[in-house]
Amino acid sequence: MQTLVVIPTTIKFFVEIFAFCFSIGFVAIIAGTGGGVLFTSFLLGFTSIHPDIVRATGLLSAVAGTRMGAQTYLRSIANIRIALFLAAPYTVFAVIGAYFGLYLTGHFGSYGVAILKLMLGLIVLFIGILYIFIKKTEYPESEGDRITQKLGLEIPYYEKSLDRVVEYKLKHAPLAFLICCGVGFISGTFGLGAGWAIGPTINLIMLAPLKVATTTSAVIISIGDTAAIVPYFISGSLIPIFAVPAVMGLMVGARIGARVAVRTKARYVRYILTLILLFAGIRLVWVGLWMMR
Amino acid sequence: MDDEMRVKSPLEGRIYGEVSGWLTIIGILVAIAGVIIGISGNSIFDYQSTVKDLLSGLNEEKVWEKDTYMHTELHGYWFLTILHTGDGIAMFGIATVVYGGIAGMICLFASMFRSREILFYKKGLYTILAITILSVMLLLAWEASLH
Repeated sequence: MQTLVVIPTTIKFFVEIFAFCFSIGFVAIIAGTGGGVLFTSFLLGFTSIHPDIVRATGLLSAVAGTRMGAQTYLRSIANIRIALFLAAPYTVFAVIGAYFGLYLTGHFGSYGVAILKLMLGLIVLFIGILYIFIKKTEYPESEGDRITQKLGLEIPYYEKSLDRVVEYKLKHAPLAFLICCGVGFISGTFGLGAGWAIGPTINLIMLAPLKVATTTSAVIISIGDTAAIVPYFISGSLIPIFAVPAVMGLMVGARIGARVAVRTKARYVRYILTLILLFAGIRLVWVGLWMMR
Repeated sequence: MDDEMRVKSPLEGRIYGEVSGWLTIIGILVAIAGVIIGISGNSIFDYQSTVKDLLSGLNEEKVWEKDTYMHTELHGYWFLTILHTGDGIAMFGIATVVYGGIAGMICLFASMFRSREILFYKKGLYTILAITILSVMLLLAWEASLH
């Protein structure tokens, strides 16, 4: 068995990854999103770390963070029926996406990596633009529709700030189901997490209250990405010296960021996040095109 | 307060949240302990070259082959045989995080059997959805055991 000769290099690497991921977790939670998108796009755009390793670690971070949230949310607000309904397509397609991502890098080598970076760049640019235009609604008005009502998805919850039970009616469940197929595929392929899409889908398309949407989206990601991470785990893409400080940093950053978030104007942080995403997206597209040449 | 009690969220959801959440916390703590043990010397990696190779863009296969004393690509549950090393413990912690979600789903599914009303709610739609998700997860976990 080999023992370490130079410890400082390892410790320096551990601390750098922790600090980097801490900042990502901190900024992302204030902006009202998960850290997965920032983590994956930054590391793929600005470092040479292999995409499989980055995506596996991104998914592990998404799983760990959302599970800790789900534990609290499922005691009160999160809706387990919506979660199961949308987690089923998300899970299946996230696994397909994970295998597709591994296939791309495994069979096409650096050309596959280039395609992956280019596609991720375009998706990150799209997410950045989405953040500019999305306007979430606290309590959307809805009469529900026939198909969605038949599914019996609604579960009323007690809203402490209003001191009353909030009842709501949902719409467009089949459309949300289809969207989750696509989002699952993207999440599994790129190791992104999916808070950027699932929360808005439940809030703006199914017309669930904002709190239900954000908490339930965490539960869906915690279920779906559990399955998506297994192929990466099997293939050995999780390397402890990189994965552990990354997950720790993202989680500690998110926890401290959540405390700061209540005193910060999230709107400005969202603008900063959008700029960062656009910057990372352009960089990824450029790197992808350059690699293809 | 009465309202709060009246709309208590479904048990199956709470069970999933508690089981997967606690296993995630335990897994992360074990993984951190493993990495600390690894950094302090009891490791299968030559960390200095691992860091260099990670940053130079080597894929996971090459990293495992080149930088571990085993000099082979590692698949599936290899870490169970080296639990006496820091990296074995760290990977066991990571596996606990990964499979914590599967354990949570199994408990969610089992809790649906507590009444016929829950099991067959909306013609058993949610039971079928839970079975679908769980099947995908278990299939992947089984596949890992074949490597």
